[in-house]
Amino acid sequence: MAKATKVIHRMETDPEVQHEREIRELEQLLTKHKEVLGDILSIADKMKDRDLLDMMDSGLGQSDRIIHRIVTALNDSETPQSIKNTLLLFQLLGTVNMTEIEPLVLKINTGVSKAAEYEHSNKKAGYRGLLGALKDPEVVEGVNVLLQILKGLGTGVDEGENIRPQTERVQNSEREVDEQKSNYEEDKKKPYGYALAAGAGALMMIPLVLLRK
Amino acid sequence: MNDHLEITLNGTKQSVQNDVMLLSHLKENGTEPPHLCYHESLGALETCDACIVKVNGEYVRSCSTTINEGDVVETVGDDIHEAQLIAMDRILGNHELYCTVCDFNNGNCEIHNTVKEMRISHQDTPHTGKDHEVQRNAFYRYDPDQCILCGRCVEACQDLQVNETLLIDWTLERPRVIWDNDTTIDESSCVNCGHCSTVCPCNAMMEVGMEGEAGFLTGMAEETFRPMVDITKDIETGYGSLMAVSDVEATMREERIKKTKTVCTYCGVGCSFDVWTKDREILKIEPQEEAPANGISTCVKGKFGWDFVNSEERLTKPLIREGDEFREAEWEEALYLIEKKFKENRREKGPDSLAFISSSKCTNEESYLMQKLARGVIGTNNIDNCSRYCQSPATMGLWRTVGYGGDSGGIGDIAQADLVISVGSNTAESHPVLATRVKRAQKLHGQKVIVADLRENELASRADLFVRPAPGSDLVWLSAVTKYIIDQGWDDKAFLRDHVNDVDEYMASLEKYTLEYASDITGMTKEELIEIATSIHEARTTSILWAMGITQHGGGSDASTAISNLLLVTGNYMKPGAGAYPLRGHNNVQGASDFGSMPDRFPGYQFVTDDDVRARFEENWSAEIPTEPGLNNHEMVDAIHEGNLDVLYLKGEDMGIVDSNINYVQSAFEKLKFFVVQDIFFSKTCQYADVVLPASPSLEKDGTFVNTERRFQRLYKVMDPLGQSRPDWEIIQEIANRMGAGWDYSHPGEIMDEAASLTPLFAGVSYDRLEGYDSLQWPVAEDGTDTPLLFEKEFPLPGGKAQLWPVEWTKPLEFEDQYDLHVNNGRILEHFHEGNMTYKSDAITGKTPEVFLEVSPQLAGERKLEDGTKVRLTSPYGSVKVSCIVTDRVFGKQLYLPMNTAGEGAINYLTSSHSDKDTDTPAYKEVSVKMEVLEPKGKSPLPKTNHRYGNPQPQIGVNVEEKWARPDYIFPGDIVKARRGDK
Repeated sequence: MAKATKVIHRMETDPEVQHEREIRELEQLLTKHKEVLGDILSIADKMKDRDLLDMMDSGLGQSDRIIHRIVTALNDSETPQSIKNTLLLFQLLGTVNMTEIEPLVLKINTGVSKAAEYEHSNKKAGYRGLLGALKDPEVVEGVNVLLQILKGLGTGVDEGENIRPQTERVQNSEREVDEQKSNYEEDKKKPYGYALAAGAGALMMIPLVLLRK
Repeated sequence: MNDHLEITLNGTKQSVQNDVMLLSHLKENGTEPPHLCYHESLGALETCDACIVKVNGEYVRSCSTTINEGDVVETVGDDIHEAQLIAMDRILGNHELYCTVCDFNNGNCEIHNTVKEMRISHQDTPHTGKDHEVQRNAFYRYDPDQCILCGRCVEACQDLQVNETLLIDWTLERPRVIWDNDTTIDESSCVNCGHCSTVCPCNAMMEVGMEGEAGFLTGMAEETFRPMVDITKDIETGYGSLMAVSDVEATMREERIKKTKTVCTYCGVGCSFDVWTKDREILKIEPQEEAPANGISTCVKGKFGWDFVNSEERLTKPLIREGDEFREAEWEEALYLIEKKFKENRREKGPDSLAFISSSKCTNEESYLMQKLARGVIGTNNIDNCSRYCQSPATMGLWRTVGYGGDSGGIGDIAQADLVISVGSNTAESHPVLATRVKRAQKLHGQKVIVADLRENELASRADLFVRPAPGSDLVWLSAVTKYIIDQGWDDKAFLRDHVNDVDEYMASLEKYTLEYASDITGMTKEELIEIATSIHEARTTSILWAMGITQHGGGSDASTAISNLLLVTGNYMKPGAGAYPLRGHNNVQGASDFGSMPDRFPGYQFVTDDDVRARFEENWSAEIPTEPGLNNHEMVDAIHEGNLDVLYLKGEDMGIVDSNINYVQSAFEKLKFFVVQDIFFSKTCQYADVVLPASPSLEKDGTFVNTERRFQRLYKVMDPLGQSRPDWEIIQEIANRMGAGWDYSHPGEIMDEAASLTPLFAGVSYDRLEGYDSLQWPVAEDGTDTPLLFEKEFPLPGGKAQLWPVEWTKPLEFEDQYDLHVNNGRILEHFHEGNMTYKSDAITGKTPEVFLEVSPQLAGERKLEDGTKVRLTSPYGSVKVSCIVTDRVFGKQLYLPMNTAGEGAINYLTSSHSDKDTDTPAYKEVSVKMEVLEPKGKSPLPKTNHRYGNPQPQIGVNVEEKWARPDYIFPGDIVKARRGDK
């Protein structure tokens, strides 16, 4: 005869037995991960020496307040603009084709050296002299390079721009046309369309190169 | 008509299937334009405009464009891109991209992915709020400022779930989604089915379980969130970098959030979906289009009712009775006690003094092992399951007439039927997702719906014809309709000739079922009867759905037989969209019987009395199996009272509250010598046990269920068992081995292999064939061919023919005059049965905290009842105390007492031991009571925040025409055209 009952006595584990069991489990765990633990403890030691552990402890303890402070401070300062500029610069660097730009930089360097060597004299600079210079193959080569750069300047690169807003893109959409026609489908497969035309990238580098002097 | 059309796509000629929309073709073709409102399960909504392409020089939305012969289609071009950009720009004006700190950033945000795909770097229209606060309740929330007004949620609510709560108010200056007449979620008619949050392409409509939990940076304090978003926006140099960072973060989330496919453990529809978990925490349920039974649909229980898994009330240690108390014990001690008692009793009184009850909530493999333990290890056929309480009569009716006790087709067949007749089934509450298919087919595709019920349930209120036959009289009107059809010459003579036996004998038996007689007995009018007959005659296909309103009567098997007879006479078998659909109530009530938890049948409905079959099992199990059928549940209770049954092992079944006449059942439990109960909670039944074993629910184990469509589906283990609880199959194996069985199953897949090898009905079922969302509908041949349409060429009866089976009406129980009120009873949408699982959800309990009694306005007037009046109902078998609500869902002297309590309002204190004469299924629906008012005034048991007090606003779809008619709307294609024209 078993009468309905709701009375349940929870099992009271002997604290000592429980403690023993946990110690045993811990022991097994430690033995299993002996090597990793050694490495971690070594790192932890160094962190302790440099007060890093204390910092982290305090930081985590107050993390909500700290994050709020940082975020609010960031939001009220010029920092977002700095981060934005950094990101932009970083993206631009990614577009530079160093292989192509290297000979150009060497040429410019040579040009700069020559300019530095050039001594202003009272000697008259006449058309004849300039025309004579056109015979010089180095001058002809230099003009050709400059012409290519000029050509690059004229190429549409709107598609790759990161800064110009969507408004302009929609309102002057015909400017996108030529490039998209040929590239749209193909480019869709690329993760992000950051490709700037090489010529434009090179131009962006010129001031940087000049500054090196 | 030609199947294919010739079109030119981007300059290339190609052949296109005739009936597909342009967007679908483009998707298949790899030239998919961007799109945000289109959803495979919802179709074209035409709200986002992002999928614009050009057809014959005109800009069109590809989602809603049909293809015509010779069309010239262009998907690439600067102008097309420009139009798409305009559309996307408008979308981004409504949605702020703060992906990294967004809980929806899990790789599946469609806005994020589209922006990335289109390489959009900035937007023209700045994002602005909609000047309305976030709407939320305990289930989900809506952030209008993130809503792109795609209308998917509205479409899903209006036309898929067909709850008709959500709208977009296009008349507002800043349109947004509204509930009913622009009220709060909780005060609306919303049933929290979760469709809206499932289909939302972004974080606008989102499960609250995800909030602050999904991302690494999303749990930050509220006051930090806004500045963080502002910084993100300030520093972004175009969306590219934002996307990159958030993609990395989304990938990191994959390490932490586990997505596991499971099958719902509530009703018999068999919804499957992914469960998103973070350790043991359930973040959300994510339905998938490929889910065979439900697609993207869920009900509130399947979507939000999983808190029970981590409930503190879970049993986590075995309990052993000592006197009138329990104490927690170790497994070893509990199992040793079970072994000792089982052996002792078997030795002293023989194996038949033990009995076993399997569960329709457990897996097939567990049901198989339970009956194997009973038959093969203990040596008794005393094994049954809870389908005895509900579905056995339906199965009996089908065995008699068509040979298989299962639904004739799938849920898709019900959806495509010309006519659906629902008899004695509260489908919209008991099988909510299945009901959505009927509601949708009726609303959008002109399906005719006839409902026969005592109560104006949701489907009844939507029906084309709603009839209210007297309680327990369905056999009469069904037979009268059948006779009328035959009298009119509308019977399907060719079908009867080719596929049915005993036609003449049956026809003769119908003689007394005249319209007059039927009208007298049922209270239905002759016109109603004729209309039903005519509707069946006019429909190409009729599907009849029925449930407990038919089966839980003294003549439940006969009434089920009458349904099948009607379908046979009208030729409504052997074709898609037609047939018999007894709606199975539990997730695995079909499987529990399929796998042999029955006193007279092995798995696959093979008789234990069949020597060949028995020999096959004996050989495989190396055991001797008794030749005679054992006791069913009902007989077990009697046998205990008679002193012939001493030991009961019951799992996953709260028999002490769900069996009828529970006073009688509970007193039987008290007489048991030894009672083992295995459950996840300390149920009412556990209170009578000698040993209680802690089991694991579906999320903590692998296995399979069979749903109402006869569909096998796999569930995968989501998390480890809580505490010391264990999966049922492991516990059964442990007990069997202590009894000397020597079983060695290491995974349920091995159990399935063994069961399939012994069972022709599902010989081809294996875990390999059920990977992921793959499923099989029995019968399954050895080569894996399954049978979505149950009867194709013949019936599994002699001669391959079905059989018309004459039936007589069994009059329902009669009560003395003092018991003047009839008590109808059954489920409600939001709680499952007595609520052992669903009350563990605070969200569900908040909306529906307790049981209530529905009384009609007429009765309320007569007896001075109002919402909150507490009454006592007394039947000859017991009494309950419950508070009333007054509603016109019930009529006159009929009451409705849902079963969602295990307390003093539990319906089974009123029910009797009277049962179906053929299957012993309790006649739960034959109850009359007298009523006393205990407290005239009190708090209403149903808060006003319950969806039943809502005010639905039906419309078709999202009303995009209203959007287009707004003065601020110009079709992007027209803008581009104007610009190009101006050039």
